[in-house]
Amino acid sequence: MNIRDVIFGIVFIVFGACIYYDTLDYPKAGPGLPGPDFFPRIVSILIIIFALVLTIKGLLEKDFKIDFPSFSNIFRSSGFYNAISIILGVIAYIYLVNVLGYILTIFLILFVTMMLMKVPIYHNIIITLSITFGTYFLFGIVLKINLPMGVFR
Amino acid sequence: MIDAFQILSMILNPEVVFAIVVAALYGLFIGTIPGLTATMATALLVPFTFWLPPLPGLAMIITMSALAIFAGDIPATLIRIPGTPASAAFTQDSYELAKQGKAGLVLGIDLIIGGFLSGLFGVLMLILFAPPLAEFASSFTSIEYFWLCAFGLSTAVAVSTGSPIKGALSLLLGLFLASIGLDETYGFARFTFGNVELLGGVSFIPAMIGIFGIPEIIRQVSSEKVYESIAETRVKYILRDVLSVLRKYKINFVRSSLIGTFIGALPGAGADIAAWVAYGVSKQFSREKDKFGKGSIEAIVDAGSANNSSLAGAWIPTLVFGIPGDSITAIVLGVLMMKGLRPGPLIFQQQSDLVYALFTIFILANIIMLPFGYLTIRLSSLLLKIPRNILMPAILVFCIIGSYAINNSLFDVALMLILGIIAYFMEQNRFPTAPMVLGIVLQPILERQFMMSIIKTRGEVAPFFTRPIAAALSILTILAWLLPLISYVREKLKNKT
Repeated sequence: MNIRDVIFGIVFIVFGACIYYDTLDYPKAGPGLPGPDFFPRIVSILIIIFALVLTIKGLLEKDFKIDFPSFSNIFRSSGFYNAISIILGVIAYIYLVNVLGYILTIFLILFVTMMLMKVPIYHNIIITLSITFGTYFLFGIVLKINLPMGVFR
Repeated sequence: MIDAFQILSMILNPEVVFAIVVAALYGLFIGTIPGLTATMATALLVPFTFWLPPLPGLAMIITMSALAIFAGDIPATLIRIPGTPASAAFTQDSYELAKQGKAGLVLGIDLIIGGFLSGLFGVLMLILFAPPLAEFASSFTSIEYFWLCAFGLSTAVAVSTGSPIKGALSLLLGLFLASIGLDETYGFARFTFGNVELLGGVSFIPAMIGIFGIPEIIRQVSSEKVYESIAETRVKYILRDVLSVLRKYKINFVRSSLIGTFIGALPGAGADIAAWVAYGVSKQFSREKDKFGKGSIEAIVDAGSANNSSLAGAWIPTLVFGIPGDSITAIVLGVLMMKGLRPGPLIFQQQSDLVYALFTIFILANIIMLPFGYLTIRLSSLLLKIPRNILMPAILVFCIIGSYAINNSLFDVALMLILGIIAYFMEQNRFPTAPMVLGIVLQPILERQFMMSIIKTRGEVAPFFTRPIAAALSILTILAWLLPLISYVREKLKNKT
């Protein structure tokens, strides 16, 4: 059994079923013509069919593969925390940028992320400042994108 | 009639020249850094093209992709890590030769034969074949376009890396994502769950950046080598023996450039597949098969020529039919539509100046590759010293601002992150993500052409199969779905016997 394919297969089956269920309430078009539900419904049916094939193929695979790394190994690896810091960095941007503004938010995110990734402090400060002001100049001033100013408003 | 002066004045515009130079440097930088793909680099370029007129915007993408694909050969040769997937096929051979002190010769071949000459070969094919194909396509109705879209999506699944079932699921996920928002025909809100931000649908640019950018960043920062610089090597004698290699392997060069252009023109198959196929064909016909994988110059000439010539090949279906040839041209298609340009046969009549200016930019991009590429090879040891723990957070900033900039929307940033995480988990479990992108790009065209056709035929399905070209395309589409199944059954039977 290929456990990964089985799990992905089941997730896709449930997902396809949810899409199909949602289209049940869609309005109908004139006689003989497809309505707004037509395409999503075909997509959902195809998702369920292919996901079923993936699940069955995964179940029938001869080599017994449970190749998930153990949780303790995941939490011990620094790579896991680096990846989490990248994801949290984007989430922090979404919540902070309107309050602190683009410059402060990007500075904080870059500084903290690079600190967690063990970039030496002096390098970190120089690189963070260059990227923060460089991107502000490029996007905010040259391309005139309306970047949130936050506390600098 | 094509006005050559008009085209030259369009290209020699300072904005276009500046765009080409900046994109060349950016492409070389991205290509040289292992793991950063030309597709991801194109996705990150899109926000810039949004603020530029169509020609400099497209010039940036053309130049960047050509130089990134070439530059991907540099880390492949020096450190055995391909800079872009297009260099993966001949990485082992390049590295083995570098270990024998021939890194300069390998990179010289990559630059002159695999980059410059094969790139020009691909452009020549584009110039020769795109206009007559466009004339042929001018008789197409919405029915033929529907089948073309369906065929493009089907081949994307058939030729995608890994399992076709996973490719199909990835494609269907893309088709679903693109159906979110107001339905074009009836104006009905689908899958919005009362969220006003979703009424406009899943924004193309944040989706691209998320799907191609975020998984790459997560993979790189999760690596144990995140704290290390990439390599420290010196390269000598770059151009010394390239001409004698070209004389010896001229047939290989022409054969693989043709293979590359043809594979590039197939919807969904890009430079990486072209390189693998050319490598396989080269081995099949070689008199020195035993050298393959252990340092074969022949393999490098073949696979290197195929990957660069495929870039121009991919533009043939994109410009002629509006069906992208690879993931880069899928993004290009989105950019063209964003600019109000509709690729297809009419673009050759209504905007022939723009089309021929694009052809000329392709030639310029390959010419500019010579001096810029040579310098990059010389400076590669410096570029490869940048540690990943500095590079990746910097790229993250470009991902964030790139997805925010188009609509000034934080919702788009969140969308980029969510799709990026989904794409990461899919890739970790060997789901190709390129079909998902093609699905997002082609779904609106597919649905629009189908609805137009079915309303015109008043619900009749027969014309979808009785018009001659439509019938041929429908058979090709069905075959594209059946072929992986047939080869699977054949393999099973072979294993049993």
